[in-house]
Amino acid sequence: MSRAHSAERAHPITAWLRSVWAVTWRDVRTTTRYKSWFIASLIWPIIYPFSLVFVGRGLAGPSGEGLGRFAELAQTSDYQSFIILGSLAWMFVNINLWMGGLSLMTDRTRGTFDTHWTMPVSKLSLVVGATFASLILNFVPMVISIAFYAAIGWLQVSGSPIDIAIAILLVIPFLLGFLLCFSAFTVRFREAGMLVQVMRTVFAILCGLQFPLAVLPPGLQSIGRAIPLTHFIDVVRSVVIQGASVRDHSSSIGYVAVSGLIMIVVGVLAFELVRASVRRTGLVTGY
Amino acid sequence: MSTTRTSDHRGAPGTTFAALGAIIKKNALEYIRYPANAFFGLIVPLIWFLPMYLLIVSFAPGGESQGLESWVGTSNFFSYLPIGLVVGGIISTIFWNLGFALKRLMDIGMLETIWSCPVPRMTYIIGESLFSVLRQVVEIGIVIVAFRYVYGFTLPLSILSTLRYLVPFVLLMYGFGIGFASLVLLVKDANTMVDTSSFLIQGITGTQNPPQVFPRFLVAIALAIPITHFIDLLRVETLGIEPLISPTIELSVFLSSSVLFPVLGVLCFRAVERRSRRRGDLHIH
Repeated sequence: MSRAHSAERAHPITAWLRSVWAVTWRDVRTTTRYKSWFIASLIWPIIYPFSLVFVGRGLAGPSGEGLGRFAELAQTSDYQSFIILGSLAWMFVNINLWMGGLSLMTDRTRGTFDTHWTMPVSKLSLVVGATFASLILNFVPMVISIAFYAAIGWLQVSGSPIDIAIAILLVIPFLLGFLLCFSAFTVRFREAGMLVQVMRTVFAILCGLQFPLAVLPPGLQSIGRAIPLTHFIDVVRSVVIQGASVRDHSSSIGYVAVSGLIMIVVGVLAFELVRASVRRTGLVTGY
Repeated sequence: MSTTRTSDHRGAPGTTFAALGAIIKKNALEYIRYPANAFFGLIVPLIWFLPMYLLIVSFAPGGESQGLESWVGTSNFFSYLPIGLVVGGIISTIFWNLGFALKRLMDIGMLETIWSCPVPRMTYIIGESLFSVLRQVVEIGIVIVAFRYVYGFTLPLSILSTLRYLVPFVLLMYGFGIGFASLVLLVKDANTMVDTSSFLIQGITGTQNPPQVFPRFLVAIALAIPITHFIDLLRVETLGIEPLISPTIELSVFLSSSVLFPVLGVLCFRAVERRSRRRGDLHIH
């Protein structure tokens, strides 16, 4: 009772942050409740890049005799680091699409969507909280994976960890905004599993996550250059592999930051529009 | 009385084939009922492969790789890879359909009902995967043709001469899959197990790259898995590449495993099933 009263009296921003935290904590607890999650989240970031690195090694040859074209396209002959960083970025986006973007779909499947949707809290906080949970849960395995590959000598980390952290922090607004748009879509159209499959492949291709972007036709390269994720992975690769600083990529960093903020505004607007629409048309219940 | 009569018929060849037919028919009806899934089953492998294709051509335009030639003696990656991809597709099907079939039945609340049917469990397990394997064979055929025209991959015609290995390979994979299904009964969480195991087995057996590129400890693990020898045999006989070890030894390991694995798989499954019945934990997720 007293808790309810304090919630009524709380500042709107405090109340919003409290509901975001509640959702984040709920998702962290329900996910970490299953031992298999620990196994999967620690094993996958290590075994997934392996397969692509070995394909690269098979094509590069024992002494790098097949490496010429790749080095020309990627501007580096360190194909292992190039592939590992791209694969981990792809995995990170992929997992966040499933956990954050599909969080409302998961609620529907569990039968808790209607209950959550009728709670006296911001609906936006349901997605933002789920996305934060996803970011928290998946960030640590990524760091462990990078440490593992660095320890076995497959990933040469030349840049500053602070610069890497800055690049990662700057891409989060874009991810959050994108996931808000994506969640709005799932609320309106209900079935989004196939869309996740499409989006993760589109990002992999247009952002050059697992291969050099220069291998694409010029038209597709231009589309890829418009996606902030492409700039993000370019900056991370440059910092990690070549030891550059984020200041050397000020235009890319600026683009990622500004487009991230725009994406958040677009995401919030899209989500609120869909929320009003499903309320008006009575689409909240049912699949 | 009727129960006794029914159990008398358990395992009789007529009953077994009737049960297998019924399970295949059930799965075929489910498949036909969702045409969008069937369509995506053909399209998704093409789309998913695109990033891998772009990685390959960033090293080897037109599929000609000097690096591959140094490893195994052929530079034609566009013929080398499809052999592994076909085997990888079959591995994935067996894992998902033998391992995951039981979990799917658990999820939809049918496992106990089916377990108490007067049909041998092994018949049910094999029946669940038969339709998937048949479907996969057809889908692989279509996907190979699509890969030929979309990506320029060519599966050499000489692969037909290796069809004699198909039956032993299916036996080997079924043995593997049945043993794996028993693990699913034990561990319950099939999704992570199937996904991770299928990916690891496909990776370690060299479906996408020559096992020669692995560090030595991984080569040792790869050589301990009979599927590696099967894939290498196919590549040696089809493309004339340098084998991992003597082809005679590879053939012996492969053929003896195709006899041993089904026996071990069935024994393992029976032991786990007995344990589940004794403990009464079949319904627990």
